[in-house]
Amino acid sequence: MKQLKAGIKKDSIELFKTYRIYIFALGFFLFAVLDPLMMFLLPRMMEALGLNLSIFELAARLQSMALSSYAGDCTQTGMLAMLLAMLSAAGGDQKKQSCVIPLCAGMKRETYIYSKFIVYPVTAGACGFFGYWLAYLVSFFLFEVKVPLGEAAMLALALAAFSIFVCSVMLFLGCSTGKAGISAVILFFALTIVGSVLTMLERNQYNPLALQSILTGVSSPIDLPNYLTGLLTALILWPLLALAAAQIFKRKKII
Amino acid sequence: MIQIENLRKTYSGRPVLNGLTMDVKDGEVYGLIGRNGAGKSTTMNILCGLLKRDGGTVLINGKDPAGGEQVPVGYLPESPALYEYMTGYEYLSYIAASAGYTGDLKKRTGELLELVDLTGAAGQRIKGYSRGMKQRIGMAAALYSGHNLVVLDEPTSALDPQGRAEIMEIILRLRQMGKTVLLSTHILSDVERVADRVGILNGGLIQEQDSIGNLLKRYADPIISFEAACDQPGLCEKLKKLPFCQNVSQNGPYYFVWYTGDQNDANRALFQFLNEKHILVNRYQLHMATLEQVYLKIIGQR
Repeated sequence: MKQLKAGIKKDSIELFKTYRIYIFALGFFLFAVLDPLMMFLLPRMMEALGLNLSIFELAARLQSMALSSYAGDCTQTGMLAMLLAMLSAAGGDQKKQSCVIPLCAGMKRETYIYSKFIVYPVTAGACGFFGYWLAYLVSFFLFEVKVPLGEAAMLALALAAFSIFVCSVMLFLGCSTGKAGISAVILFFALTIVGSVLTMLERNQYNPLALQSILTGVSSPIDLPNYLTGLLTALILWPLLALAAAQIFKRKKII
Repeated sequence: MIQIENLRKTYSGRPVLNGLTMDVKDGEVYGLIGRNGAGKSTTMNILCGLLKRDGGTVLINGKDPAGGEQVPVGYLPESPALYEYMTGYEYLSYIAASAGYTGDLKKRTGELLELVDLTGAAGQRIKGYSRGMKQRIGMAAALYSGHNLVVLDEPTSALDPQGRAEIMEIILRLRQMGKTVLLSTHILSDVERVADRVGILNGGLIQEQDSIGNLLKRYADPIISFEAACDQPGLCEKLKKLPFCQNVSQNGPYYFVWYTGDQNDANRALFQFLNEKHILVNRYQLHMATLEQVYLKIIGQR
C-alpha cells in the first residue's frame, strides 16, 4: 500500500510538473467553451455574410447540437492530445529505463503499473466529466432548447467512461509493448475505424466505442441498453486492462 | 554476500558470459574490471534481476534474484535515467517508499543528501543537475534501496576528473560505513584507489580474482631505472648476472632493471653493486607496479 501511495504521488507529480495536466485540461476544457460559442455565433456570422441556412438557424437554438459538437471534438482532437500527453507514462519510461532504479530498489512491478492506471484514467475521467459540465453550463445560457439535466449527467458520465477506457487501452498497449508512440497512433486510428465498423454492423451493446456515437448523436432520449452496457464495459475493462498490463510487465525484459 | 557460479549468458547466439564464477564478501569493495563489451554490465543486470541468465547460479545473501522473491539491490546504471521533473528530495523519498523504508524519512534523506554533497541542491529539479550531481543522487538512491549492497556500473565513465574524484570519495565513505560495493569500470586507477579485491573479466570468465596487493605481487614486473653519469661499456651484461635481476634494457645512459623478489632487497643490492663498481648515477627511480600492468599482462596472456 505504501508503494502504491508513493507511485500515485510520483505519477501525480509527473502529471503536474511535466505540464501534462494542462494538455489534458486544454483538450477537454478549451472545447467546452469554444464549441458552444462557435455553434452560437456561426448562424449569426452566416447571416452577416448573407447566407441564411435553416440548419444553422436550428443549431443556434439547440443546446444538444453544441454538446454534440463538443463531444465530437473531445473524442477526436481531445483524445489525440491526451494520447500524446501520455506517451512518456505509457512505455516511454521503459524505453528511457527510468524505471530501473525504483524496480531494483524493491518497487513491485505490478504496483508500478497500477499507480499509472489510477492516476491517468482518473484524471482523464475527471477532465471528461467536468469538461462536459462546463460545456453544458456555457451552452445553457446560449441556447433556447435545453438538454434535460438528467440526460446531461448521463452524457457527462459517458464522456468520463469513454476517456477512462481510451486512457486505459493506451496505458495497456504502451506498458505492454514499451512502444508508446506506435501505440498512440494505432489506438487513435483504431478508435475511429473500429468504432465506425462496429456502429455500421450495429454491434453497439457492450461496446465502449458506441459511447462515442451516443455522445455525438443529438437524438433524445439516449439509447439506454447501449449506453448502460457500453458504460459498464468501459469501466470493467479499466481494472482488467491494468491487471493484464501488470502481468505482462512482470515478465517483461526491461534492459 | 554475492555468490556467482558458472554464470552463462548468450545474446543472439553470441556468448557473453561463459561460466563466470566470482564472489563478493560482506563489507568489501569489489572492482569488476574488463574491456568494453566484456560482460560487466550483463553480469550486473543479471545480479539485479533485470536480465535472465541462460545458466549458472546467482545468490545475494542466499537468495536468487531471478527467483520469485524480489531481492532489493541498490543499483546505479552506467547512465542513470532519473525522473528529472522531480527534485532530489522528492526522488529520494520515492525510492525510499519503493524500497519499503520505514524509518524517519526526512532524517535519512537528509543524511544521504549530505553523504553525496547535495544538501544544497535537494530542492532543485534533477533536470538542472550536472552529470556528476545526477550520478551522486543516483548513488544516494542506490543507498536507500540497497540496504547493504550497492552495485555501481561504470559510475565514473562519463565524468570529468573532479566528478570522478567525488564519486570515488563517496565509495570510500561507503567502505568505511561497512557497505558492500560491487563496482564495474574500465578506469583502473579508480579501482586501484578504492577496491579491496578485483575480478578481471575477459572472454566471459573471471580470469583472476584477488586483492590488488596479491595481484601486484603475482603479476607486476617491478622496475628500477637509473641514469648513469658516464658511458659504462658492458654494464648491461654485468647487471644481468646479478641474482635478483630478471632482465635489463638500455636506452643511452638510461638503464632499466627488472627484478624479482623484495623491492627493498633488490634496491639495496643494486646500489651496492653500483657503488662497488664506482658507477656514478645522476637519477634513480623505483617504478611502482600498477594494476594496469597486471591487467594488461593477464588479458595479454589469454
